[in-house]
Amino acid sequence: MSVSSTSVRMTVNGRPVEAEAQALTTLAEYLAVVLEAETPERRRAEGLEGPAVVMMNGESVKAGRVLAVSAASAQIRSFGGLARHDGVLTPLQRAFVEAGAMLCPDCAPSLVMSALDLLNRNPIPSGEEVRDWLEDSLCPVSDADRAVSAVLAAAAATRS
Amino acid sequence: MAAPDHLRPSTLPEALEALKRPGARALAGGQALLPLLLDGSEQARSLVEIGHLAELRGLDRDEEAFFVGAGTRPVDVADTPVVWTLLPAFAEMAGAMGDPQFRNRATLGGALAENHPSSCWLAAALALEARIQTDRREFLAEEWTLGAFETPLEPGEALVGLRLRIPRRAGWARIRAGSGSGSPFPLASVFAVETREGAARLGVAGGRDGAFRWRAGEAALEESGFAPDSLAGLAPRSDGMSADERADAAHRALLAGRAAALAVARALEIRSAPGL
Ligand SMILES: Cc1cc2nc3c(=O)[nH]c(=O)nc-3n(C[C@H](O)[C@H](O)[C@H](O)COP(=O)(O)OP(=O)(O)OC[C@H]3O[C@@H](n4cnc5c(N)ncnc54)[C@H](O)[C@@H]3O)c2cc1C
Ligand code: FES
Repeated sequence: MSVSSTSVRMTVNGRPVEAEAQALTTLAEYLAVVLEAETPERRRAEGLEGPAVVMMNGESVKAGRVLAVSAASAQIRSFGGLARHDGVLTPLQRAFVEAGAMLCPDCAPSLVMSALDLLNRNPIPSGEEVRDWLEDSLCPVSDADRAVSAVLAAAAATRS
Repeated sequence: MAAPDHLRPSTLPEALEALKRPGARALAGGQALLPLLLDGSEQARSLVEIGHLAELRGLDRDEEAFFVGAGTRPVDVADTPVVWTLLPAFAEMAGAMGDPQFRNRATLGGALAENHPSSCWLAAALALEARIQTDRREFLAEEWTLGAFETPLEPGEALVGLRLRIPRRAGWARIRAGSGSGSPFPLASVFAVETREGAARLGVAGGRDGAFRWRAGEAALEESGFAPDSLAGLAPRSDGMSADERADAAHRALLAGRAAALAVARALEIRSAPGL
């Protein structure tokens, strides 16, 4: 059985990386390797569990639903790459923490990344727009009201 | 099964050449195909990436029609102001389907090639008098579905895009299952159009053999006027509807009738502005 793999390069959290990928290696698997996220805890910290939403060239995607080879040369940002190296959280992350919306360690990071995509497109969303945007990403454990208020608070904080 | 090769052609002719390889599959957004490849229920010897091809990415218009390239994503449709001006129902549909990450990856061509019987796209295409273009042929939207998941596409043939006629007005409505239903598709999705000539067209998703035009509903709208009341008490025949664990055929038919009335109501609320 021939297992052909190629070397795939991309930029992850501002850092150029390179690793081997087979045709069916997902972006999530690739990122777990280059971010050295071997354990579930590390993958949670990077936002690679659950829906594993990351930014790819400025747009949110589910990393398990994109091939690593399709992301060759792309700019990727993971949840773990949002905070500055000194650990200072972005306003959006802070708002999620303050609203008590980081409820599930698996999917809350993906909610944050999805909300980031919304705020990039629409910096002043209405509550209804936020709710529509996040609707399909909310699992039974999450709290829609808290997530929506977190996004609205972050939008307001960025404006002031 | 060996891991497939991955090819990333930079032009459409190169992609068509690559698609001639035995066992080659086009990979657009991968939102339908990738899960199937990953769980082993579908195979490919070569994956030919096409979602990035500039030739498939257009969203152009002339006096009569919009041309939407097969590589166009829901987010591209929803974020294009001229679509909101001339065909707001289409933009509304694209901006509402699935979740944001899906809208950033999936493509129109992938949806038409997949031909899921509950697909909103073919329902819209039927209502909008679409012509579906491949690299070698053109089809009327009515000629597209040959049954659930069946299309006239031949091996190696690529969808290039859709030509949609700009209507006098159009509306879209869907009825969704509760969250956690296990399927991303709505239970009912109807695209309602009044053409510039005043004809009514209803594209209905959820047919047993794919999306279809609901002719009896169209006749009612033409006889009694383009208004939701004209469809009161009507529904497509249940023997033509698909059935699954979420809804049996009779229930789907009922929901399709309701969605059709909602779509007509929406068409009267949001006006296309064909003042070209
Ligand atoms: C989370 C989620 C939510 C969804 N919500 C909705 C919804 O609300 N309404 C709805 O109608 N649908 C919905 N869908 C279905 C969706 O529209 C299609 O699955 C999607 O558009 C497929 O596009 P793709 O580019 O990802 O296709 P891919 O997965 O890349 O390809 C699908 C198939 O089409 C072939 N193909 C792709 N492009 C071409 C081409 N140009 N020429 C020839 N063959 C081609 C591929 O070889 C493959 O066989 C949803 C799907 C998901 C996963
Ligand atoms: S995935 Fe854990 S509760 Fe959402």
